[in-house]
Amino acid sequence: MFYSTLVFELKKQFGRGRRRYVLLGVGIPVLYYLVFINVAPHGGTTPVEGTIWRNYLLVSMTAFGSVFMGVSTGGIRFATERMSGWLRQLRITPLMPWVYFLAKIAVALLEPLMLIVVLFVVSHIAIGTSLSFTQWVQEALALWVGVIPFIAFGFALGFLVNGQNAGAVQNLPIFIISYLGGLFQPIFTMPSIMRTIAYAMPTYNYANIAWGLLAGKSPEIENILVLVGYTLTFILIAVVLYRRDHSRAII
Amino acid sequence: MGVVIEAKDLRKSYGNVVALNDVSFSIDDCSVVAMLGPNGAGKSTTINILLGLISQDNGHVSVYGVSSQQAVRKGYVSGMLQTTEGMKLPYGVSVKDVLAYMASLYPNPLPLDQAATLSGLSELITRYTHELSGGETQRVRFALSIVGNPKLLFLDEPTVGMDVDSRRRFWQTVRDFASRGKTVLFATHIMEEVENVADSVIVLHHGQVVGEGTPSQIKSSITGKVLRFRLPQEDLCILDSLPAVIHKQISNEQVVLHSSNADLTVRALCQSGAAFYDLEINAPSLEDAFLELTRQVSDNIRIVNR
Repeated sequence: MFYSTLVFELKKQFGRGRRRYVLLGVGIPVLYYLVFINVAPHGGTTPVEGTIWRNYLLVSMTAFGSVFMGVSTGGIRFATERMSGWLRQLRITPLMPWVYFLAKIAVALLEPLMLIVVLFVVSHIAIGTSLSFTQWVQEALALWVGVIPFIAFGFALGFLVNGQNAGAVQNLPIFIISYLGGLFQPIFTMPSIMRTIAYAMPTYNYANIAWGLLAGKSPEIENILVLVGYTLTFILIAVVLYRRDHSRAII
Repeated sequence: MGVVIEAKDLRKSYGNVVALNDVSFSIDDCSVVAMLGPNGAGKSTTINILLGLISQDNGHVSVYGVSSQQAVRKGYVSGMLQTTEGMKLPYGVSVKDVLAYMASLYPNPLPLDQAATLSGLSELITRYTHELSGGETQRVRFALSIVGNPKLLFLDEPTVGMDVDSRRRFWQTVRDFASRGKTVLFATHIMEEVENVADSVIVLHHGQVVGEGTPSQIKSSITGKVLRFRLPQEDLCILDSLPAVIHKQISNEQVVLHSSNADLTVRALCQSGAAFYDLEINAPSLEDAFLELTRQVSDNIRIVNR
Protein backbone atom coordinates (compact mmCIF):
# COMPACT_ATOMS: atom_id res chain seq x y z
CA MET A 1 0.00 0.00 0.00
CA PHE A 2 2.88 2.36 0.78
CA TYR A 3 4.58 1.40 -2.46
CA SER A 4 1.55 2.07 -4.66
CA THR A 5 0.85 5.31 -2.80
CA LEU A 6 4.43 6.44 -3.33
CA VAL A 7 4.31 5.55 -7.03
CA PHE A 8 1.02 7.42 -7.42
CA GLU A 9 2.39 10.49 -5.63
CA LEU A 10 5.45 10.40 -7.89
CA LYS A 11 3.24 10.16 -10.97
CA LYS A 12 1.28 13.18 -9.81
CA GLN A 13 4.42 15.14 -9.02
CA PHE A 14 6.39 14.39 -12.16
CA GLY A 15 3.58 13.38 -14.52
CA ARG A 16 2.72 15.10 -17.77
CA GLY A 17 0.65 17.87 -16.24
CA ARG A 18 3.31 18.92 -13.74
CA ARG A 19 6.61 18.79 -15.56
CA ARG A 20 6.80 22.49 -16.35
CA TYR A 21 6.32 23.37 -12.67
CA VAL A 22 9.18 21.09 -11.69
CA LEU A 23 11.29 22.68 -14.43
CA LEU A 24 10.41 26.16 -13.19
CA GLY A 25 11.08 25.20 -9.58
CA VAL A 26 14.57 24.06 -10.48
CA GLY A 27 15.16 26.67 -13.19
CA ILE A 28 14.37 29.84 -11.26
CA PRO A 29 16.91 29.37 -8.43
CA VAL A 30 19.55 28.39 -11.03
CA LEU A 31 18.77 31.55 -12.99
CA TYR A 32 18.86 33.76 -9.86
CA TYR A 33 22.20 32.24 -8.94
CA LEU A 34 23.76 32.84 -12.35
CA VAL A 35 22.46 36.42 -12.51
CA PHE A 36 23.72 37.30 -9.01
CA ILE A 37 27.13 35.79 -9.76
CA ASN A 38 27.40 37.83 -12.93
CA VAL A 39 26.78 41.15 -11.22
CA ALA A 40 29.16 40.32 -8.34
CA PRO A 41 32.46 42.25 -8.31
CA HIS A 42 35.72 40.31 -8.78
CA GLY A 43 33.81 37.30 -10.15
CA GLY A 44 32.41 36.62 -6.69
CA THR A 45 35.75 35.94 -5.09
CA THR A 46 35.34 38.60 -2.37
CA PRO A 47 35.91 37.05 1.08
CA VAL A 48 32.79 36.79 3.21
CA GLU A 49 32.10 34.99 6.51
CA GLY A 50 35.10 32.70 6.19
CA THR A 51 34.45 31.79 2.57
CA ILE A 52 34.08 33.58 -0.77
CA TRP A 53 30.96 35.33 -2.07
CA ARG A 54 30.11 32.91 -4.87
CA ASN A 55 30.12 29.92 -2.50
CA TYR A 56 28.09 31.86 0.03
CA LEU A 57 25.62 32.79 -2.71
CA LEU A 58 25.37 29.19 -3.89
CA VAL A 59 24.21 28.17 -0.43
CA SER A 60 21.76 31.10 -0.24
CA MET A 61 20.14 30.28 -3.56
CA THR A 62 20.04 26.54 -2.93
CA ALA A 63 18.42 27.25 0.43
CA PHE A 64 15.85 29.56 -1.18
CA GLY A 65 15.00 27.04 -3.93
CA SER A 66 14.71 24.17 -1.46
CA VAL A 67 12.49 26.18 0.88
CA PHE A 68 10.26 27.07 -2.05
CA MET A 69 9.95 23.45 -3.19
CA GLY A 70 9.61 22.07 0.31
CA VAL A 71 6.76 24.42 1.17
CA SER A 72 4.91 24.13 -2.12
CA THR A 73 4.73 20.32 -2.27
CA GLY A 74 2.82 20.27 0.95
CA GLY A 75 1.16 23.66 0.67
CA ILE A 76 -0.60 24.48 -2.54
CA ARG A 77 -0.94 20.99 -3.93
CA PHE A 78 -2.00 19.45 -0.67
CA ALA A 79 -4.53 22.27 -0.15
CA THR A 80 -6.03 21.50 -3.56
CA GLU A 81 -6.31 17.80 -2.79
CA ARG A 82 -7.84 18.51 0.56
CA MET A 83 -10.41 21.03 -0.68
CA SER A 84 -11.32 19.00 -3.75
CA GLY A 85 -12.41 16.10 -1.56
CA TRP A 86 -9.65 13.76 -2.70
CA LEU A 87 -8.20 13.46 0.79
CA ARG A 88 -11.69 12.71 2.07
CA GLN A 89 -12.18 10.10 -0.61
CA LEU A 90 -8.95 8.44 0.50
CA ARG A 91 -10.11 8.51 4.10
CA ILE A 92 -12.94 6.15 3.21
CA THR A 93 -10.55 3.59 1.73
CA PRO A 94 -8.45 1.07 3.69
CA LEU A 95 -5.47 3.43 3.25
CA MET A 96 -4.05 4.54 6.59
CA PRO A 97 -3.67 8.35 6.74
CA TRP A 98 -0.03 8.12 7.87
CA VAL A 99 0.84 6.17 4.71
CA TYR A 100 -0.53 9.01 2.59
CA PHE A 101 1.38 11.66 4.51
CA LEU A 102 4.57 9.60 4.58
CA ALA A 103 4.47 9.15 0.79
CA LYS A 104 3.81 12.88 0.36
CA ILE A 105 6.76 13.74 2.62
CA ALA A 106 9.01 11.34 0.70
CA VAL A 107 8.11 13.06 -2.57
CA ALA A 108 8.42 16.47 -0.93
CA LEU A 109 12.02 15.52 -0.03
CA LEU A 110 12.83 14.38 -3.54
CA GLU A 111 12.31 17.73 -5.30
CA PRO A 112 14.73 19.75 -3.14
CA LEU A 113 17.30 16.97 -3.56
CA MET A 114 17.00 17.30 -7.34
CA LEU A 115 17.44 21.05 -7.06
CA ILE A 116 20.50 20.72 -4.82
CA VAL A 117 22.20 18.31 -7.20
CA VAL A 118 21.40 20.42 -10.29
CA LEU A 119 22.56 23.66 -8.68
CA PHE A 120 25.77 22.11 -7.38
CA VAL A 121 26.59 20.61 -10.77
CA VAL A 122 25.82 23.89 -12.60
CA SER A 123 27.88 25.80 -10.06
CA HIS A 124 30.83 23.45 -10.38
CA ILE A 125 30.80 23.35 -14.19
CA ALA A 126 29.67 26.86 -15.13
CA ILE A 127 31.17 28.92 -12.30
CA GLY A 128 34.02 26.66 -11.35
CA THR A 129 33.08 26.41 -7.71
CA SER A 130 35.56 24.10 -6.07
CA LEU A 131 34.80 22.46 -2.76
CA SER A 132 36.26 19.27 -1.38
CA PHE A 133 34.19 16.14 -1.90
CA THR A 134 33.41 15.99 1.82
CA GLN A 135 32.24 19.60 1.71
CA TRP A 136 29.94 19.00 -1.26
CA VAL A 137 28.37 16.05 0.53
CA GLN A 138 28.08 17.92 3.83
CA GLU A 139 26.47 20.91 2.12
CA ALA A 140 24.03 18.72 0.21
CA LEU A 141 23.02 16.83 3.34
CA ALA A 142 22.63 19.96 5.47
CA LEU A 143 20.52 21.71 2.85
CA TRP A 144 18.47 18.60 2.18
CA VAL A 145 17.68 17.45 5.72
CA GLY A 146 17.18 21.04 6.81
CA VAL A 147 14.23 21.37 4.44
CA ILE A 148 12.06 19.20 6.73
CA PRO A 149 10.63 22.11 8.79
CA PHE A 150 9.58 23.79 5.55
CA ILE A 151 7.76 20.68 4.39
CA ALA A 152 5.93 20.70 7.73
CA PHE A 153 5.22 24.41 7.22
CA GLY A 154 3.73 23.54 3.81
CA PHE A 155 1.33 21.00 5.29
CA ALA A 156 0.25 23.40 8.04
CA LEU A 157 -0.40 26.03 5.34
CA GLY A 158 -2.23 23.45 3.25
CA PHE A 159 -4.69 22.93 6.08
CA LEU A 160 -5.13 26.67 6.61
CA VAL A 161 -5.88 27.83 3.09
CA ASN A 162 -8.47 26.84 0.56
CA GLY A 163 -7.63 25.67 -2.94
CA GLN A 164 -8.29 28.94 -4.73
CA ASN A 165 -6.09 31.32 -2.75
CA ALA A 166 -3.39 28.76 -1.93
CA GLY A 167 -0.97 30.11 -4.56
CA ALA A 168 -0.88 33.64 -3.20
CA VAL A 169 -1.07 32.65 0.44
CA GLN A 170 1.83 30.28 -0.03
CA ASN A 171 4.25 32.28 -2.18
CA LEU A 172 4.17 35.52 -0.21
CA PRO A 173 5.33 33.99 3.10
CA ILE A 174 8.06 32.07 1.27
CA PHE A 175 9.53 35.28 -0.13
CA ILE A 176 9.12 37.13 3.16
CA ILE A 177 10.84 34.49 5.28
CA SER A 178 13.53 34.08 2.62
CA TYR A 179 14.28 37.79 2.64
CA LEU A 180 14.10 38.16 6.42
CA GLY A 181 16.28 35.08 6.83
CA GLY A 182 19.04 36.63 4.73
CA LEU A 183 18.77 34.41 1.68
CA PHE A 184 18.55 37.38 -0.71
CA GLN A 185 20.82 39.72 1.20
CA PRO A 186 23.36 38.64 3.84
CA ILE A 187 22.18 39.64 7.29
CA PHE A 188 25.52 41.26 8.23
CA THR A 189 24.63 44.02 5.74
CA MET A 190 21.29 44.60 7.52
CA PRO A 191 20.50 46.94 10.43
CA SER A 192 20.65 45.28 13.85
CA ILE A 193 16.88 45.04 14.29
CA MET A 194 16.66 43.07 11.04
CA ARG A 195 19.42 40.79 12.27
CA THR A 196 17.49 40.08 15.44
CA ILE A 197 14.47 39.14 13.34
CA ALA A 198 16.64 36.96 11.12
CA TYR A 199 17.90 34.93 14.07
CA ALA A 200 14.31 33.89 14.76
CA MET A 201 13.61 32.90 11.15
CA PRO A 202 13.68 29.21 10.21
CA THR A 203 15.27 30.24 6.91
CA TYR A 204 18.27 31.89 8.62
CA ASN A 205 18.85 28.97 10.97
CA TYR A 206 18.59 26.58 8.04
CA ALA A 207 21.00 28.44 5.77
CA ASN A 208 23.38 29.34 8.60
CA ILE A 209 24.28 25.69 9.12
CA ALA A 210 25.28 25.42 5.45
CA TRP A 211 27.07 28.80 5.43
CA GLY A 212 29.01 27.70 8.48
CA LEU A 213 30.07 24.47 6.82
CA LEU A 214 31.63 26.52 3.99
CA ALA A 215 33.84 28.21 6.57
CA GLY A 216 34.69 24.85 8.08
CA LYS A 217 32.50 25.37 11.16
CA SER A 218 30.39 22.54 12.50
CA PRO A 219 26.62 23.17 12.85
CA GLU A 220 25.57 25.32 15.79
CA ILE A 221 23.25 23.68 18.28
CA GLU A 222 20.97 26.78 18.45
CA ASN A 223 20.33 26.54 14.72
CA ILE A 224 19.36 22.90 15.03
CA LEU A 225 17.13 23.49 18.04
CA VAL A 226 15.30 26.34 16.33
CA LEU A 227 14.65 24.14 13.27
CA VAL A 228 13.44 21.23 15.40
CA GLY A 229 11.19 23.63 17.31
CA TYR A 230 9.67 24.96 14.10
CA THR A 231 9.18 21.43 12.77
CA LEU A 232 7.31 20.31 15.88
CA THR A 233 5.19 23.46 15.93
CA PHE A 234 4.14 23.07 12.30
CA ILE A 235 3.39 19.38 12.77
CA LEU A 236 1.28 20.22 15.80
CA ILE A 237 -0.64 22.86 13.83
CA ALA A 238 -1.19 20.39 10.97
CA VAL A 239 -2.46 17.68 13.32
CA VAL A 240 -4.86 20.06 15.09
CA LEU A 241 -6.21 21.27 11.75
CA TYR A 242 -6.52 17.69 10.46
CA ARG A 243 -8.67 16.91 13.48
CA ARG A 244 -10.77 20.01 12.81
CA ASP A 245 -11.43 18.80 9.25
CA HIS A 246 -12.38 15.49 10.76
CA SER A 247 -15.33 16.97 12.63
CA ARG A 248 -17.10 18.50 9.64
CA ALA A 249 -19.73 16.80 7.53
CA ILE A 250 -18.74 18.60 4.35
CA ILE A 251 -15.44 20.38 3.88
CA MET B 1 -30.70 -11.54 3.57
CA GLY B 2 -29.52 -9.92 6.75
CA VAL B 3 -29.09 -6.55 8.32
CA VAL B 4 -25.93 -4.77 7.16
CA ILE B 5 -26.31 -1.41 8.90
CA GLU B 6 -27.69 -0.93 12.35
CA ALA B 7 -27.91 2.66 13.58
CA LYS B 8 -29.27 3.28 17.05
CA ASP B 9 -30.15 6.57 18.73
CA LEU B 10 -27.66 8.62 16.73
CA ARG B 11 -27.24 12.11 18.04
CA LYS B 12 -24.97 14.80 16.66
CA SER B 13 -24.76 18.54 17.21
CA TYR B 14 -22.56 21.19 15.64
CA GLY B 15 -22.36 23.82 18.34
CA ASN B 16 -25.97 24.76 19.06
CA VAL B 17 -27.32 23.19 15.90
CA VAL B 18 -28.75 19.73 16.39
CA ALA B 19 -28.05 17.79 13.19
CA LEU B 20 -29.29 14.39 14.33
CA ASN B 21 -31.77 13.80 17.08
CA ASP B 22 -32.06 10.12 18.05
CA VAL B 23 -31.88 8.63 14.58
CA SER B 24 -32.36 4.86 14.42
CA PHE B 25 -32.75 2.63 11.39
CA SER B 26 -31.46 -0.56 9.89
CA ILE B 27 -30.66 -1.51 6.32
CA ASP B 28 -31.03 -4.94 4.74
CA ASP B 29 -28.46 -6.68 2.62
CA CYS B 30 -28.82 -6.36 -1.18
CA SER B 31 -31.19 -3.43 -1.09
CA VAL B 32 -31.10 0.04 -2.62
CA VAL B 33 -32.16 2.48 0.05
CA ALA B 34 -32.87 6.18 -0.36
CA MET B 35 -32.44 8.69 2.40
CA LEU B 36 -34.86 11.43 1.56
CA GLY B 37 -34.93 14.84 3.14
CA PRO B 38 -34.56 18.55 2.47
CA ASN B 39 -31.17 20.26 2.81
CA GLY B 40 -30.10 20.30 6.42
CA ALA B 41 -32.19 17.26 7.35
CA GLY B 42 -29.08 15.38 8.49
CA LYS B 43 -28.45 13.16 5.46
CA SER B 44 -24.76 14.03 4.99
CA THR B 45 -24.14 13.85 8.71
CA THR B 46 -25.64 10.37 8.86
CA ILE B 47 -23.58 9.15 5.90
CA ASN B 48 -20.42 10.66 7.35
CA ILE B 49 -21.04 8.88 10.64
CA LEU B 50 -21.72 5.59 8.86
CA LEU B 51 -18.40 6.01 7.03
CA GLY B 52 -16.56 6.87 10.24
CA LEU B 53 -15.55 10.31 8.96
CA ILE B 54 -17.16 12.09 11.87
CA SER B 55 -18.14 10.67 15.19
CA GLN B 56 -21.57 10.82 16.75
CA ASP B 57 -22.11 12.48 20.13
CA ASN B 58 -24.27 9.61 21.22
CA GLY B 59 -25.67 6.35 19.90
CA HIS B 60 -24.26 3.29 18.24
CA VAL B 61 -23.47 2.23 14.68
CA SER B 62 -22.59 -1.19 13.37
CA VAL B 63 -21.73 -1.89 9.74
CA TYR B 64 -21.43 -5.59 8.89
CA GLY B 65 -21.19 -6.23 12.61
CA VAL B 66 -18.14 -4.01 13.11
CA SER B 67 -17.58 -0.30 13.73
CA SER B 68 -17.80 2.06 10.78
CA GLN B 69 -14.04 2.70 10.84
CA GLN B 70 -13.30 -1.01 10.77
CA ALA B 71 -15.75 -1.54 7.91
CA VAL B 72 -13.84 1.11 5.94
CA ARG B 73 -10.44 -0.41 6.79
CA LYS B 74 -11.60 -3.82 5.67
CA GLY B 75 -12.83 -2.41 2.36
CA TYR B 76 -16.47 -3.36 2.95
CA VAL B 77 -17.78 0.11 2.22
CA SER B 78 -17.06 2.99 -0.10
CA GLY B 79 -18.86 6.04 -1.33
CA MET B 80 -19.25 9.23 -3.28
CA LEU B 81 -19.26 12.18 -0.92
CA GLN B 82 -20.41 15.75 -1.27
CA THR B 83 -17.89 18.55 -1.59
CA THR B 84 -18.46 22.28 -1.52
CA GLU B 85 -16.09 23.07 -4.38
CA GLY B 86 -17.03 20.01 -6.43
CA MET B 87 -14.73 17.04 -6.46
CA LYS B 88 -11.65 17.50 -8.59
CA LEU B 89 -9.56 14.47 -9.37
CA PRO B 90 -5.81 14.50 -8.69
CA TYR B 91 -4.07 16.62 -11.30
CA GLY B 92 -1.62 15.42 -13.92
CA VAL B 93 -2.49 11.71 -14.07
CA SER B 94 -4.69 9.59 -16.32
CA VAL B 95 -8.05 8.08 -15.39
CA LYS B 96 -6.40 4.70 -15.49
CA ASP B 97 -3.68 5.82 -13.04
CA VAL B 98 -6.27 7.02 -10.53
CA LEU B 99 -8.42 3.91 -10.89
CA ALA B 100 -5.44 1.57 -10.60
CA TYR B 101 -4.21 3.38 -7.53
CA MET B 102 -7.61 3.24 -5.87
CA ALA B 103 -7.87 -0.49 -6.67
CA SER B 104 -4.43 -1.09 -5.13
CA LEU B 105 -5.76 0.04 -1.75
CA TYR B 106 -8.34 -2.76 -1.51
CA PRO B 107 -7.87 -6.42 -0.68
CA ASN B 108 -10.24 -7.68 -3.36
CA PRO B 109 -10.75 -5.06 -6.10
CA LEU B 110 -12.69 -5.32 -9.35
CA PRO B 111 -10.63 -5.72 -12.52
CA LEU B 112 -10.06 -2.21 -13.91
CA ASP B 113 -11.82 -2.85 -17.21
CA GLN B 114 -14.86 -4.18 -15.37
CA ALA B 115 -15.05 -1.11 -13.13
CA ALA B 116 -14.59 1.11 -16.17
CA THR B 117 -17.28 -0.65 -18.21
CA LEU B 118 -19.72 -0.61 -15.32
CA SER B 119 -19.23 3.13 -14.94
CA GLY B 120 -19.40 3.83 -18.67
CA LEU B 121 -15.78 4.95 -18.82
CA SER B 122 -14.24 2.54 -21.29
CA GLU B 123 -13.39 5.23 -23.83
CA LEU B 124 -12.13 7.69 -21.21
CA ILE B 125 -9.60 5.44 -19.53
CA THR B 126 -6.50 6.91 -21.19
CA ARG B 127 -7.64 10.52 -20.77
CA TYR B 128 -5.95 12.83 -18.28
CA THR B 129 -8.04 14.01 -15.36
CA HIS B 130 -7.87 17.68 -16.33
CA GLU B 131 -9.28 16.88 -19.78
CA LEU B 132 -12.60 15.58 -18.42
CA SER B 133 -15.93 17.40 -18.41
CA GLY B 134 -17.98 17.70 -15.23
CA GLY B 135 -20.21 14.75 -16.13
CA GLU B 136 -17.22 12.60 -17.02
CA THR B 137 -15.56 13.48 -13.72
CA GLN B 138 -18.68 12.30 -11.91
CA ARG B 139 -18.50 8.99 -13.77
CA VAL B 140 -14.86 8.60 -12.76
CA ARG B 141 -15.83 9.37 -9.17
CA PHE B 142 -18.41 6.63 -9.33
CA ALA B 143 -15.84 4.23 -10.78
CA LEU B 144 -13.48 5.15 -7.93
CA SER B 145 -16.14 4.29 -5.40
CA ILE B 146 -16.82 0.82 -6.86
CA VAL B 147 -13.36 -0.27 -8.05
CA GLY B 148 -12.55 -1.56 -4.55
CA ASN B 149 -15.49 -3.93 -4.92
CA PRO B 150 -17.24 -2.80 -1.72
CA LYS B 151 -20.28 -4.64 -0.46
CA LEU B 152 -21.97 -1.41 0.50
CA LEU B 153 -21.93 1.90 -1.35
CA PHE B 154 -22.88 5.31 0.02
CA LEU B 155 -23.88 8.02 -2.44
CA ASP B 156 -24.41 11.51 -1.03
CA GLU B 157 -26.52 13.44 -3.54
CA PRO B 158 -24.49 11.95 -6.38
CA THR B 159 -26.41 13.56 -9.25
CA VAL B 160 -25.99 17.19 -8.19
CA GLY B 161 -25.08 19.16 -11.30
CA MET B 162 -25.95 16.39 -13.77
CA ASP B 163 -28.34 16.95 -16.65
CA VAL B 164 -31.41 14.75 -17.12
CA ASP B 165 -29.68 12.36 -19.49
CA SER B 166 -26.56 11.81 -17.37
CA ARG B 167 -28.78 11.42 -14.34
CA ARG B 168 -30.75 8.65 -16.01
CA ARG B 169 -27.54 6.96 -17.14
CA PHE B 170 -26.04 7.32 -13.71
CA TRP B 171 -28.89 5.54 -11.96
CA GLN B 172 -28.72 2.78 -14.56
CA THR B 173 -25.08 2.17 -13.57
CA VAL B 174 -26.05 2.19 -9.90
CA ARG B 175 -28.70 -0.44 -10.58
CA ASP B 176 -26.21 -2.53 -12.56
CA PHE B 177 -23.82 -2.36 -9.63
CA ALA B 178 -26.56 -3.22 -7.12
CA SER B 179 -27.63 -6.21 -9.19
CA ARG B 180 -24.28 -7.81 -8.35
CA GLY B 181 -25.58 -8.42 -4.85
CA LYS B 182 -24.56 -5.04 -3.45
CA THR B 183 -26.23 -2.70 -1.00
CA VAL B 184 -26.58 0.98 -1.84
CA LEU B 185 -27.60 3.84 0.42
CA PHE B 186 -28.09 7.18 -1.30
CA ALA B 187 -29.11 10.60 -0.05
CA THR B 188 -31.32 12.79 -2.19
CA HIS B 189 -34.05 15.39 -2.14
CA ILE B 190 -35.35 14.40 -5.56
CA MET B 191 -38.57 12.34 -5.37
CA GLU B 192 -38.16 10.93 -8.84
CA GLU B 193 -34.86 9.28 -7.91
CA VAL B 194 -36.51 7.66 -4.90
CA GLU B 195 -39.48 6.36 -6.89
CA ASN B 196 -37.39 5.03 -9.76
CA VAL B 197 -34.39 3.63 -7.96
CA ALA B 198 -35.02 2.81 -4.32
CA ASP B 199 -36.37 -0.42 -2.84
CA SER B 200 -37.01 1.39 0.40
CA VAL B 201 -36.73 4.89 1.77
CA ILE B 202 -35.88 6.58 5.04
CA VAL B 203 -37.42 10.04 5.36
CA LEU B 204 -35.30 12.44 7.43
CA HIS B 205 -36.47 15.82 8.64
CA HIS B 206 -34.78 18.10 11.16
CA GLY B 207 -32.51 15.28 12.20
CA GLN B 208 -35.29 12.81 12.84
CA VAL B 209 -36.59 9.78 10.99
CA VAL B 210 -40.18 10.69 10.13
CA GLY B 211 -40.97 7.80 7.80
CA GLU B 212 -39.55 4.46 6.75
CA GLY B 213 -40.66 1.81 4.25
CA THR B 214 -40.98 1.10 0.55
CA PRO B 215 -41.96 4.08 -1.61
CA SER B 216 -45.48 2.66 -1.93
CA GLN B 217 -45.76 2.13 1.82
CA ILE B 218 -44.74 5.74 2.34
CA LYS B 219 -47.34 6.85 -0.19
CA SER B 220 -50.09 4.82 1.44
CA SER B 221 -49.13 6.09 4.87
CA ILE B 222 -51.29 9.08 4.12
CA THR B 223 -54.89 8.40 3.25
CA GLY B 224 -57.32 10.43 1.20
CA LYS B 225 -56.74 12.36 -1.99
CA VAL B 226 -54.83 15.40 -3.07
CA LEU B 227 -56.79 18.16 -4.82
CA ARG B 228 -54.99 20.69 -6.96
CA PHE B 229 -56.70 23.70 -8.51
CA ARG B 230 -56.35 27.39 -9.18
CA LEU B 231 -58.40 29.95 -7.36
CA PRO B 232 -58.58 33.76 -7.88
CA GLN B 233 -57.23 35.75 -4.92
CA GLU B 234 -60.67 37.11 -3.93
CA ASP B 235 -62.08 33.59 -3.48
CA LEU B 236 -59.28 32.31 -1.23
CA CYS B 237 -61.40 32.96 1.89
CA ILE B 238 -63.78 30.09 1.04
CA LEU B 239 -61.02 27.56 1.64
CA ASP B 240 -61.50 27.79 5.39
CA SER B 241 -65.09 26.58 5.14
CA LEU B 242 -64.34 23.43 3.11
CA PRO B 243 -64.96 20.14 4.92
CA ALA B 244 -62.59 17.14 5.29
CA VAL B 245 -59.47 19.20 4.58
CA ILE B 246 -56.48 17.85 6.50
CA HIS B 247 -53.95 20.30 5.20
CA LYS B 248 -53.82 23.09 2.67
CA GLN B 249 -51.07 24.83 0.89
CA ILE B 250 -51.45 28.00 -1.14
CA SER B 251 -48.92 29.71 -3.35
CA ASN B 252 -50.25 32.56 -5.47
CA GLU B 253 -53.40 31.14 -7.04
CA GLN B 254 -52.33 27.50 -6.89
CA VAL B 255 -54.07 25.57 -4.15
CA VAL B 256 -53.15 22.09 -2.95
CA LEU B 257 -55.58 20.46 -0.54
CA HIS B 258 -55.10 17.20 1.22
CA SER B 259 -58.58 15.86 1.84
CA SER B 260 -59.73 12.85 3.81
CA ASN B 261 -62.93 12.76 1.72
CA ALA B 262 -62.48 14.22 -1.74
CA ASP B 263 -66.17 13.89 -2.69
CA LEU B 264 -67.30 16.03 0.25
CA THR B 265 -64.63 18.64 -0.37
CA VAL B 266 -65.35 18.95 -4.09
CA ARG B 267 -69.11 19.20 -3.55
CA ALA B 268 -68.63 22.02 -1.05
CA LEU B 269 -66.19 23.72 -3.40
CA CYS B 270 -68.79 23.69 -6.21
CA GLN B 271 -71.55 24.97 -3.96
CA SER B 272 -69.42 27.83 -2.71
CA GLY B 273 -69.62 29.44 -6.12
CA ALA B 274 -65.88 30.12 -6.17
CA ALA B 275 -64.39 30.50 -9.65
CA PHE B 276 -61.88 27.70 -9.33
CA TYR B 277 -60.35 26.10 -12.43
CA ASP B 278 -57.82 23.44 -13.53
CA LEU B 279 -59.03 20.97 -10.89
CA GLU B 280 -57.09 17.71 -10.53
CA ILE B 281 -57.77 14.97 -8.03
CA ASN B 282 -55.00 12.43 -7.42
CA ALA B 283 -53.92 9.77 -5.04
CA PRO B 284 -51.08 11.20 -2.95
CA SER B 285 -47.73 11.12 -4.72
CA LEU B 286 -44.51 10.38 -2.89
CA GLU B 287 -43.90 14.10 -2.74
CA ASP B 288 -47.32 14.66 -1.14
CA ALA B 289 -46.58 11.92 1.37
CA PHE B 290 -43.17 13.43 2.03
CA LEU B 291 -44.60 16.89 2.58
CA GLU B 292 -47.28 15.51 4.87
CA LEU B 293 -44.76 13.50 6.91
CA THR B 294 -42.43 16.44 7.34
CA ARG B 295 -45.36 18.78 8.11
CA GLN B 296 -46.48 16.56 10.93
CA VAL B 297 -43.07 16.96 12.53
CA SER B 298 -42.88 20.70 12.29
CA ASP B 299 -46.28 22.24 11.80
CA ASN B 300 -44.89 25.68 12.24
CA ILE B 301 -42.56 25.36 9.28
CA ARG B 302 -44.03 26.45 6.00
CA ILE B 303 -43.04 24.06 3.30
CA VAL B 304 -42.55 25.90 0.09
CA ASN B 305 -42.93 23.74 -2.94
CA ARG B 306 -39.70 23.38 -4.89
